[in-house]
Order: sequence, then structure tokens, then C-alpha cells
Amino acid sequence: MDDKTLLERYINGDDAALTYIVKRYQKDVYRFVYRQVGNEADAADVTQKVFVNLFLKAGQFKGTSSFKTWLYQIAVNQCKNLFRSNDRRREHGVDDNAREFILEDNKFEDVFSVEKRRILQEAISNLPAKQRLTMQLRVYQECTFAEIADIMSSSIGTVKASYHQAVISLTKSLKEESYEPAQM
Amino acid sequence: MNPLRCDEVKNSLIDYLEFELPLTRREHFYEHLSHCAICRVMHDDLQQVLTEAKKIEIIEPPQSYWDELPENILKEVKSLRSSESLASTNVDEGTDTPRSTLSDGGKVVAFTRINRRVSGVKDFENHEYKVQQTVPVAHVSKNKKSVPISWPKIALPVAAAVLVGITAMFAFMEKESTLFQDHIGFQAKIQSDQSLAQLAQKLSPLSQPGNQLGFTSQQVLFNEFSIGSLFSEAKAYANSGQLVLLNTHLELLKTALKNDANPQYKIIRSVGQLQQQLIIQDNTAEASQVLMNLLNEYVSLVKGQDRQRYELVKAGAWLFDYALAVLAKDDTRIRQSDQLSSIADALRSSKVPPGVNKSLKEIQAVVQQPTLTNREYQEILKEVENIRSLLG
Repeated sequence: MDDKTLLERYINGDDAALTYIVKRYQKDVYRFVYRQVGNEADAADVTQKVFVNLFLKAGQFKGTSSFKTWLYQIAVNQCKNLFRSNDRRREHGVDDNAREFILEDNKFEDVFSVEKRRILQEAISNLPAKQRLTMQLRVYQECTFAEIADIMSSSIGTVKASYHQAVISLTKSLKEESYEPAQM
Repeated sequence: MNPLRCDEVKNSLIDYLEFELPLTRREHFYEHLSHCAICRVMHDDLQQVLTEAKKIEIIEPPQSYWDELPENILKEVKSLRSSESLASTNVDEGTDTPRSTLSDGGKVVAFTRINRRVSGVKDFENHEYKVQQTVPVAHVSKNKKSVPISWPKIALPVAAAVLVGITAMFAFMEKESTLFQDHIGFQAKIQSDQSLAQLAQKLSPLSQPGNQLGFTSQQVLFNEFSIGSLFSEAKAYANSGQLVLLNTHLELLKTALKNDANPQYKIIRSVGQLQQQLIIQDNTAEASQVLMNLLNEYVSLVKGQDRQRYELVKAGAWLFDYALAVLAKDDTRIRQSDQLSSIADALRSSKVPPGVNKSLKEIQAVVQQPTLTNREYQEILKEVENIRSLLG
């Protein structure tokens, strides 16, 4: 059953439809939020808020954009709420647990590759907000540029430019951090 | 086939990697990359970034989080709708602030349209909440710290569930009896040439708003009066678009709520969220609606716990609006004899200091006079201020 039909069923009083929608998107939303906020506790909290807002505003969904676009718009706004309220947008990035987890999980991989990933993760968290958001929607949520433009209320051209800039910045960061010149 | 230049490749390399190029152009790219080492290095670097970025792991919450999430969402949504429904159907006669509606493709859908619901998931009905102080992190190694999840994050769904029960109980009581004939405020009805904020600023501040030192049982009790008053005062500033004063009073309100004998953490958190929301968007009109809903929710909660505290919250909120009406010289609102009697009876039964009853009697006497002049307005205001200083 498609999302719009499920949402209509929810509006008409069928709570089971809410469960279907949540189960369909909960992990995608959590992962998206996690990559924005950088820690599990906030990600879990914000994910719940995203869905609460979605169902409170269920009647506002007009179907002019896709359900997924609408959902991510709400997720973006909820993440912004958290950033602004905690005034820690720039500080947010990889928490220690996340780093340890990555190292633990990749113990059989090349340590050099793991280190590169850590650098990359830090570099992503340091990207300007719009670039980071574009990057995450594209790379992790696999949204099309048109969808990202919808979510961010922007044009496809701007989104593409932002994405290009993000990837180039990350490439530079990775090169700079990975290949430090020898101290003379 | 025209060969591509390096700068053309550089500019569109990400499009190439993202399969955004038309097939014919992709072939040109492939051709160029096969013989240009510089561009190939650049291509490999970008590709590596995208490949590595996709491998970055995240910490997943424990399975119990996923299992409980739909139910927690459902309960929170129901709780929020219940408070919305309660606010729009009772206490303030539905006139203080406009009722929230949601637009549905041109149709207007009131919250109440989706208020009465059926649950199609039987498991939800039998589910039992497990409250724990920390949630173990998936794949935690012995060297790793667990990620603590603060109490409110876990307790909120529980609080929401409790609220659903309480609000449902009050909705039932409302239907079954005339007990729920509250009159918390009437700001929207006050006729005045001045804004509510201008009027509010003329009132003396509460003596100890949100800072009840000493904590004798009476002082804790009177803190409820401050809470009611601060709700109304914040609402007046919200209605007038006075963001700075609104924020100041939200802060005072939060402190008063924290000093409560039995703090309502959901309400405290909601006030905090409202402050955060105002940072993002200074929609004070919406803030007024939110405050109205929160006040109604708070009153409902206190009413279920302690009649005395309930009367004091109500009196605090109502008397603040009454003071505004006096400052506005709105005779219709000033002469609300029934309401004055009701507030006087309620406060008398709450064992407030004798000065409060005396002032209320004075007001009741003055409003009976056929005409009200500046002298009467001053007299009433003096008595209202006296009550506020004794209780707030």
C-alpha cells in the first residue's frame, strides 16, 4: 500500500496505518537524523519527534511532492530545531562512541582505510550546513537531486553546486589529513 | 567525436560519478579518463570519497527502541491531540485564541476530525512500558562507554501515556457533570485601545514569581498562583508580539513550574520547546495558542491532583486578565460578578490570607455601582494588585 493511502487511512482513524508508515521509514529517518546530529541519544529523540510532527500534520499533506520529500523536510526542520536549541551546530560531529564503534567494526580492515573514514566523518561534520545536508541526502538517503531540491526548497542547480562543493571539500580534507608532509 | 578538455571534465566529474550525464557524454568522459592521468587521479580521489563516505557506520539504537517507536509516537500524538481538543472545547470558552486547524488540500480539517481513533494493532493494547535509566548501545565493546539516554527521553512517552489517561478522564468528567465550568482567562475579549502588552506592563510584577524561597507549605501552594498569572502574562505578550517580554516570562514560568510541589515535567519541557521554537521563528501568535493549550493541560493535571492548587492556578490566570480589563476600563469584563463570586468562593475554600478575601469583597462591592469612573478603576486595581502581592 502506498504512503498516501496509508496516511489517508490514518487520518480516517486507522492507527495501524501509522505503524506501517513508521516501520517503513523509521530506520531511514533515524540514519538521516543520526548523520545530522552525530549521536544516538539525540537521533533517537529527534526521530520520534519527526514522526510525531508528521502525524500531527497529516492533514496538511497534499501530495504535491512525494511523501518521502515531505518526511525529510520535517526531519530537516527537527534537526534544525535541535541545532539551534543546543547552539552546538558547529560542535556536532562524531562522538567518541561512534569513532570507537567504527574502529571496532572494521577491525579486520586496513587501519589506514579506517583512519581515512574517521577523517572523512569529521570533515563531513565540518561542512557548511547546506552542503552537509545535500551530501547526506544524496549519499546516504539516495535521494535524487530533484528530491533534494524539493526537500531543501531550492533549485536543482543550486543543490548540484552545493553537492559538488561538498565532495570537493571532502576530497581536499582527506588528502590534507592523510598525507601530511614530513616535518623538516 | 570531439575530445573533452581537462577543465570540462573537471567541472562535470561529479555528474559523471553520479550517473547524471547523458550516455553519449559519458562515453566522451570515459575516453578522456582513459588517456589523461591527471583527470584520472582526480576521478579516483572523488570516487574514493564517495565510496568511503558510504561506509561510515552509525550507531543503531537497541531493538527495543524500534519495537516501541510506533507505540510511543501514537501515544504522544494522541496526548497532543487530547490537549488540543480539551483546549478547544472547554475552559476558555474557545474564544481566547483561534482554534487550530489543518489544511487538507483545500479542505479545513480540525484536529478533532482525527481525534477519535481506533487502534488496529492489538499488540499496542497489551504493551507494557519498560522504564530504564540507560539504554544499552548496540555492539558495545568492553572498552566503550554506553551512551546514556537522559530520563526525560525515556520518561516522556510514559508521561504522555499518563496524560492520555488523565485527559480522557477529564473529557469524561466534562460530559458527565457541570464541574468543568472553569474560566481561566478572557484576554481576547478585552476591549482596549492599547495592546495587551502595554496594559500588562502597567501591572506590578509578582513579588516572587518563580522564586518561592522558604518553601513553607503555603508558599509552595501560592506558587500555583504565580504559575497561572505567568501563563496569562506570557500570553498577553505573545498576543501583542512582544518577543523579548514573552521570553522573559516564559523563563519565569519555567522556574515557577520547576518550583512546583509536584513539577509537571512535560509542561516544563513544552515551555522550553516553545522558547526554542521562538528562536527559530518568532511566531508569537502561534506561541499564544501553545500557551493556551499548555495552561489548559496544566490546569487539567493539577485539578486531578489537588483542588487547592487547581483553584490557585485558575485564580492567578484569571486575576491577571481581570487586572488587564481594569486597566483597559472595559466595564463589561470588569462587571463579571458571577466569575468574581466564583473566584472568591474558590480562594476562600483554599484558605488564602484574609487580605485576599477582603480585597475580593471590595471589588465585588465596587463593580455593583451603576457607573464606574477613574476612581473606581483605581480602587479595583489596587485590590487586584493587593491580591497578586499576597498570593504571587
